[in-house]
Amino acid sequence: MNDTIRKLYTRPSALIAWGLVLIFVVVGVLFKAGLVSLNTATIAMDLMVNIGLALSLAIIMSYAGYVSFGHAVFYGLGGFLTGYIVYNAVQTAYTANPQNFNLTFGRALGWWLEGAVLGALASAALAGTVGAAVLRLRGAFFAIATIGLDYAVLYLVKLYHNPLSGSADIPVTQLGAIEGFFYKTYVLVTVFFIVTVIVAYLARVSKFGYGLSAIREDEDAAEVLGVDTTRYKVYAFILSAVLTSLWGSITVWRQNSFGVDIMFSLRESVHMIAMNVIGGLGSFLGPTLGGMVYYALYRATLTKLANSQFIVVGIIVILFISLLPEGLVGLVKLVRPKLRKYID
Amino acid sequence: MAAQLKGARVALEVDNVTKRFGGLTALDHVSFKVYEGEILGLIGPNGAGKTTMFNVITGVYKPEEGRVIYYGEDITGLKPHVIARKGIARTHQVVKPFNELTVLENAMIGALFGTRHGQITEEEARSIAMEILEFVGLAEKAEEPAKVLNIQEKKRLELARALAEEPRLLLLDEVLAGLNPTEVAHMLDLLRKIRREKGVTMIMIEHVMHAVMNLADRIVVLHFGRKLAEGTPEEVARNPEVIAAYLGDPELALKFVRRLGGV
Repeated sequence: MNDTIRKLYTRPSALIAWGLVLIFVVVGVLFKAGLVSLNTATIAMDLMVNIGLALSLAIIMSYAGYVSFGHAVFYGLGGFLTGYIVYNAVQTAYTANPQNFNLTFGRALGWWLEGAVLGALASAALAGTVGAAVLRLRGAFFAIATIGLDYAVLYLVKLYHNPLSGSADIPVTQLGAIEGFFYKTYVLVTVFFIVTVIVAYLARVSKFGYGLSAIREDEDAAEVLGVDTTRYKVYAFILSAVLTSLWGSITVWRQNSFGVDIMFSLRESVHMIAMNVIGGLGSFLGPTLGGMVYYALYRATLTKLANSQFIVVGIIVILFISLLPEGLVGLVKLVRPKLRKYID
Repeated sequence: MAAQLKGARVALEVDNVTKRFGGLTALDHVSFKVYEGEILGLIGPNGAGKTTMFNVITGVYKPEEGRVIYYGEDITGLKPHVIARKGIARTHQVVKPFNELTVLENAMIGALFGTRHGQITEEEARSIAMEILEFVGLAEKAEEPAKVLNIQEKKRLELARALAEEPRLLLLDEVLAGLNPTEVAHMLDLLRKIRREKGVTMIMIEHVMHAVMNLADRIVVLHFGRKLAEGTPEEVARNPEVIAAYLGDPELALKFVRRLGGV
């Protein structure tokens, strides 16, 4: 165990991640000092969210080789429960005392935490029960079943929750009015980014990570070799689901709203998958790099192409899969094979 | 050798095992024992149920009838990883290397999850793995991804991964298949070395007759899922039923026996 933790500050891959963390912290500090624009700080925050989501999915997809197309279900569940709880708490507090209604960051954060924890628990429960059943399937069958899971939960939410005239969307716009909201949120995102990096890194380089690699490469051989494949897969799926759910909670907080069709949409799953594919499967560095490059692509095509940008992004993903199936990390291995052993 | 084994402990007892797939009876009330320290050859024509027997022993398949007893403990129906941790390791007929992982990592996974599961640090696993790779002659390839190995090396890797588990019983499923005569000779040397230096009990499925006849202390012959014969290599090679069902030419069978002392 100590050996594993030591890797956090000795292995080159971990140091790269810490370098990234340092950059994001510096951007935050400079923003606070007024030396960096709101636009730059927003980009930094978006990057953290994207890398965070890529790493969250990576634990099951990239480490264990189970491609989940339904991961938006956890993103949506975290977002929905957070939005629901924060919205209701704000409404209740406002109704109780409309004259002196003053929403502080700390108070709202308490509600957010409640929602985030609830979302994480719900996601863990879903991943540990239905997920565990679905994990008996392999390859395309697993992927298809996860899509089914996503849609089932999406329509359940739509069916039973219509707070505003037929829509299951939840506005929590009051959050944005809190003083210093952006900077404080930046700190929150940074803290959670660090948590995700540590969890995802340890899940990769620990004994657990060796087990997941064995499952990815040949599940039957892994089982016969002593890896408790069923338990490892379920643990990986739960861990991945909880992290994804928490990023969903963060997204609702940042954007001051929950959109049911957006957050549960297959597109969110595809984003996460694309980041992993571009970065390269089987490593921690892959999704980290992939998250950044994918966001850069997204950003570069955003203004010029508006809604048709996904055509370009889609083509790039196809090019990666056909020309560089091992992703950016595979490219590094190809150009400098000696670096292979440093890529965790 | 067989005489010496009379006092030995029973490492594994297969007791009246039956395994069916739909209407097909792959194993039909098969029983045999393996004594500690011996090499048992498991032979028979294709489809005789040899690999199915390995899958039953390792928990991949659950038999419809019968029991598998390992050092006095009934392990029938336990999950494969539980059986592996008790000390039964195997190699696969069609090799299953973890292709994207390095040769060293392949062996390390054996050490980490094998019999010392939970009581071994990564560093210890690494040194055990390295030692085993030296032992099987793959040390120079330690940092290479397993996918670049040739078939002969992949067979050695299967063996290394299984040995890294530090098993008491090793099941070898056609480790000689697909090798050329020189490679077969090398692999046989390695198997003898395992027996000499590790003292591991082994069951080997093999079609390379002169090899199994030379290496095995006793042989069990399967035919259409039933046990056709059991005995020393000499007894089996002289058995008319075995000759008719599997060995074919009686002259050839005797040739195997004549070569017994030589290798």
